[in-house]
Amino acid sequence: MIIDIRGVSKRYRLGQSKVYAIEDLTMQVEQGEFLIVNGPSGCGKSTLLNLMSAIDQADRGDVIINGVNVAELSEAKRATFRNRHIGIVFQSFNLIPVLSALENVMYPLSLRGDRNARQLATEALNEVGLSKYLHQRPVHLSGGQMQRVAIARAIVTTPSIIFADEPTANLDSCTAQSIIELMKKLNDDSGTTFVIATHHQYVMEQASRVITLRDGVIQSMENQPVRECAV
Amino acid sequence: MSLGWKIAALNVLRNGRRSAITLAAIIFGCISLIVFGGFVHSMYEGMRESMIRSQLGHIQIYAEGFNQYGKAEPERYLVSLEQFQQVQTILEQQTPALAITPRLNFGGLLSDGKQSLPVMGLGVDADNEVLLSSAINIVEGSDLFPDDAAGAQLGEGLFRSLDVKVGDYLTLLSSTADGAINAVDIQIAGVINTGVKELDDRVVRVNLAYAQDLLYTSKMTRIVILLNNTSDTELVVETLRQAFDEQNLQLEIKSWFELADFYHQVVSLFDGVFGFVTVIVLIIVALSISNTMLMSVMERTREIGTIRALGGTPLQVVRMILMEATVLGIIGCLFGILLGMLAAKGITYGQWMMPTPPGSTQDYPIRVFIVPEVLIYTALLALVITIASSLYPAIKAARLSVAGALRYT
Repeated sequence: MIIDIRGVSKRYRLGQSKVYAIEDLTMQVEQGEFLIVNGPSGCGKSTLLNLMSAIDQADRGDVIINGVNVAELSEAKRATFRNRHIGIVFQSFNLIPVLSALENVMYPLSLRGDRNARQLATEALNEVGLSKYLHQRPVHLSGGQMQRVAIARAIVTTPSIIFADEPTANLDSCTAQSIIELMKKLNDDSGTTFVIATHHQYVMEQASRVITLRDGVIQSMENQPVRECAV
Repeated sequence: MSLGWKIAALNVLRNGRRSAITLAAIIFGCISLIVFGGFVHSMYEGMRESMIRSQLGHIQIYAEGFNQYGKAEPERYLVSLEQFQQVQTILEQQTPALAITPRLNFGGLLSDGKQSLPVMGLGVDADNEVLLSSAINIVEGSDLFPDDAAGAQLGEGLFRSLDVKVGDYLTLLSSTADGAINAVDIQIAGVINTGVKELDDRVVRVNLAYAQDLLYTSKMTRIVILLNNTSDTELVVETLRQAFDEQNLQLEIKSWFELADFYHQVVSLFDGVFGFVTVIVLIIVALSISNTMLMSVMERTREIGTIRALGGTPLQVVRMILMEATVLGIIGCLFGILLGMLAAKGITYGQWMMPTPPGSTQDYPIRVFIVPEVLIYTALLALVITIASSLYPAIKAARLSVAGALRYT
């Protein structure tokens, strides 16, 4: 088990009242899973991913990643923990605009002072098929290419888990499929665990397990066979 | 260049207008401090050299006890001719001096037949005194010459108080060393302006021999020494003290620094003013920088959230913002110092005049020195204030909630 979530709740203030984004949720994620978190907008997908990726903290309950209860870590140690164990792919790519593709991928490594950052980043970009775009700035890349850079940035630190929050939302369907295929390939090749929040059907078709959320609670959880994605 | 510094440098270029506003604030601060600091230093130097070259010289030597008891009984604490010659010999042998000259001070009354005014008399060696009077302007008439035995120079204020013209004769009264009253006639050779109103209203300069005749003495009140460079003063004072001890000369030495009370008061006053202006300038600069850096942080909230999500610690975020401030600070300092130096040169070249300061009788041109210490002080201060005023935005950035920052639109 790579993630163990026990009785986690997270509330947000909405005007004068507080609403539950996640309420008393318990679940586990196994090593090497390609887990999809599904559900309508506002059901708590992003909040759950933020909690599982140690970006946000639960109001109640425990989030244990790789045996570490992240709530017990200080802000700085939680950041270091994210850098060493977690990769994140954002919906809007979130690349640093002043840096080239290569430098964007080097960035998480430079935060930990890795001297091989350039070489590892080059290899990661090769792996996502962007060896010709190393020195391009994000503004000169297409949406699919930017998301590939973001994936390279997520895998370059060889994390045990990669979280992707709506990674295909800003892409056309063909590009989206190729991005999901890339993630699935990385999952298959390296055994990296993927947790992806989405409500797109073709992404769910690739999942080893689909969790459906509604109003902050798990509505259903089902394992399903992996099918090939038609391009 | 490390990635951190590269990001800092590129972020400076990213929003040119905002960086330009920050740089303008830093450059404004640098120019203000360089110009004001340079102006203050030029005033200090002008005042110091004016006092040295019109009144004090670099070093003054008196008979032992003069400074303690000389005011009450000046006739008992005079320097003899023999002592003067010994000092001359020491100076010739040991230290290079531009001029060494005796002076005899006395108080008296000056009368034009209608009115008598109290005066401050000064017997001088006309030949040597020329070098020690380079900051004295002759307003009317001529200089004092040794062969013009009865010739005298009057301070401008004193001259205007009397109903006289150059060439007229006046009567000068004083007490002799024995306490008797004596009087001599003097002829006005010239009218002088020392730049110090108090002096110009009372001073009468006559030849030393004539003053000695008036006082019935062959001695002098003090020996005044003028050096080539003001910076040599301490060294020469030390050399003379050692020589006086070795030769058992009963003389006292004072440097211009010990005698220039007014100079010290002005320096102290202007140091305070400079400090106050520095604080005001720094507050303006700091607020401007802090504001633009805060805007920069707010605009990049999502980017900062991403950096934090990727594993950037709060300290690394603070460092990133401060690196950006350092880049801005260095660029601002370089341009600020360059433009500050140009402004200093330009103002000095313009030769604008400042009005007559209190206690003085002359206007003076604005000069702005380029002072290395001021440049270094300004550069360090500008850099420190840029970084310090970016600290609040940096801490604010580091304290952003990661999830909140990623949601920020």
